[in-house]
Amino acid sequence: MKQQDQPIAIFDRVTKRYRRLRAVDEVTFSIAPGEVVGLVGDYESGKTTLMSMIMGFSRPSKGTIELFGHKVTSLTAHRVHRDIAYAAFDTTLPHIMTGERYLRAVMAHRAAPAKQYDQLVRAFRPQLESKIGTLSSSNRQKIVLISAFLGLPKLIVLDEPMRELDPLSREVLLDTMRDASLRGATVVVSSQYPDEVARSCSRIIMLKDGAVVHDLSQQQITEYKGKNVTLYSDADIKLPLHAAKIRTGSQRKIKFSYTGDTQQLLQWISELKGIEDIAIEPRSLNDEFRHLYVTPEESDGE
Amino acid sequence: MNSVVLQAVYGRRWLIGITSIGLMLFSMFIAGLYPILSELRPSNPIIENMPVLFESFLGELSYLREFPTFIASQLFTIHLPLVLGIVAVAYGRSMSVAAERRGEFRTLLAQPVSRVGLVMRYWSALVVMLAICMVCITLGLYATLPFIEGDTTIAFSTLMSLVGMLWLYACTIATITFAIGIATGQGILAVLAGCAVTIFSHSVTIFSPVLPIIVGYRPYSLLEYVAAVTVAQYGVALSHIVIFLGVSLATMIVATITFHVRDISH
Repeated sequence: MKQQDQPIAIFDRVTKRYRRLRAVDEVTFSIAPGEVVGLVGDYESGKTTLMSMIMGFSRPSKGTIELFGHKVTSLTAHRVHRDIAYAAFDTTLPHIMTGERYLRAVMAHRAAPAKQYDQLVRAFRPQLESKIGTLSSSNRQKIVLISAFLGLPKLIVLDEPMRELDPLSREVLLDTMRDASLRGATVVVSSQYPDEVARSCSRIIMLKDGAVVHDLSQQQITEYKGKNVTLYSDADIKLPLHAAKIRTGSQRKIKFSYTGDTQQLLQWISELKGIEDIAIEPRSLNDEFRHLYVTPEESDGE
Repeated sequence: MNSVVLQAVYGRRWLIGITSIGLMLFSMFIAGLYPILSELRPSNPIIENMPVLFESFLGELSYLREFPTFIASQLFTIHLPLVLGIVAVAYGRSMSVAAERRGEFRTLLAQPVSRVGLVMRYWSALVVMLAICMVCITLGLYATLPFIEGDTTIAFSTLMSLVGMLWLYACTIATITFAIGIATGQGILAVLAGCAVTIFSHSVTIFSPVLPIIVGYRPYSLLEYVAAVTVAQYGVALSHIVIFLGVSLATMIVATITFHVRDISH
C-alpha cells in the first residue's frame, strides 16, 4: 500500500465507558486522506467523546485510535498535533488578544500564506479589531474556524462547528471544508444536522448511543431513499409496514416516514377512508436521523 | 512557553493585583506595630493577664525589641504565612482546576504541547504570580520603614532571605494545591489539601510553645522550615530550601504521572 493510500485515521473497536455509561461503543472505521467525514448524532451519541479521544484529551477504555500511523495516547498525542487543527464549539481563545493578532500568530506559526488569511477573513467576516474576550460567541467561533483552516493542516477536526454560527457563516464553513478537501486536507466534522454537513461530506457516519448505526458513502448520501407521508384525518389509522410515526402534536395530523416499496404505500393509501388531505415528500438524511431516535412506542408496523 | 506563562499571568491580573495589594497593606500594618509591640515586657499588665493561647500570637517577647527579629517573628512567622497560604491555595486552584474548567488545557493540548509541557507552563506561571506578591510585600515594607518610629534598620540580605524563604513556603503550598488539582481535576480536593497544609503548619508552629501535646508534630509543619527568626539572626539553612524543593518536586511528579492517565474535562 502506498504511503498516500494509507488511512489517515484508524478507529479499532474504540470504547469509552464512564462507570455504567458507554459513551462510545465498539466504534470501528477508518478515514482515508482527503475525505470529509461527518460524524452525526444527537446529544450524548458519542460525537464529542470521539473527538476528544482523537485529540488525546481522553483515553479509550478499550480499543485504539491511530493517526498518521501512530497510536494516540495521552503521552504521545501531541507529537501529531503539528499536522492537526482542532476547532470546537467551546474552544477557549486568549481573551487579551484581538482576533487579528491571534490569527496572525497562528498564521506565522503555520507559515500560512497571507492570501489564504485574506480569503478566509473575507469569507467569514469576523470582528478582528476588538479583544477576543469582548466578542460574541459567533465571532469567537469564526476566529476559531479561520485558525483551523490556516496553513491547511493535514487533518482538520471540527467538533460541532456550526453551533454558534449564523446561517450565512454555516454556508461559508461548508464551502471552506470542501475547498480544504480539494487541496488535500482531511476533515472530520461532527454535527447534529446531517443534511447540512452532507452537502460537503464525502461520507456520513451516524452515531446513536455511542455506536455506529450508519456509514454512508457519498453515493449513498446522494441516493437517499424513502418518503415522508403526512395525512390529515379524524379516523383511527394503523400505519403500514416499514413505517415509523413522527410526532406532530396534533391528533388530526398523522405523519410517518416510510422506507418500503412505493407501490405498496400507494396501495395502502388508496384503501384508506376518511382522509381529508395528504402530502408525500422525499425523505432526507435529517429524517433518517430523526427516525433513529424514535422510541419503539412511537413506531408502528416495523 | 513564555507566551503561555505571560498570558496565564495577565489573564489573572485582577486576582494577582488585589491579593498583592492586600498582602502589601497587611505587611505595612504589621510592620507599623513595631513601636507599640517593642515596648511590651513580661511585667506589662496586658501580658500578665493574657490567656496562654493568645501569647502564641505575640511569640517570644525578646524578639519584638529589635526590628529584624520583630519582622521575622510577627510578619514572617505568625501573621503573614496564614494569609499568604490562603492566597497560595487560591492561586494553585486558579492555575489547575479553574484553568481546566475554562477550557485552557484543551486549547493548549490541541497544539503540539505535551501534558508535561502544559503542567510546567502553568506551574511556572504560578511561581511568577507568587513572586509578584513577594515583590509587593517587599516594596510595601520599604515604603513603610521611614514612617516607623525607632530603629528600623534591616539588612537588605536579611530581608531578601526572609522574603525568599516565605516565597518558597508559599510556592510549596501552592504547588501542593496545584498538584492535587492537576492530578484529580477536583477543585474541592485541591483547596482542602492546600488549606489543610496551611492551617496545620500554622497551628503547629504557632501553638506548639504553649501546647506540648503538638510539639511532636513540628517536623511535619512546613512553617518550621521558614524558621524566620533563625534566618534573621543567622541566615538561611540550605537543608530547609532542600525540604521545600523536595516536597514540591515529589508532589509534582505524582501529579504529572496521574495527569497522564486521566481525561481532560471541558
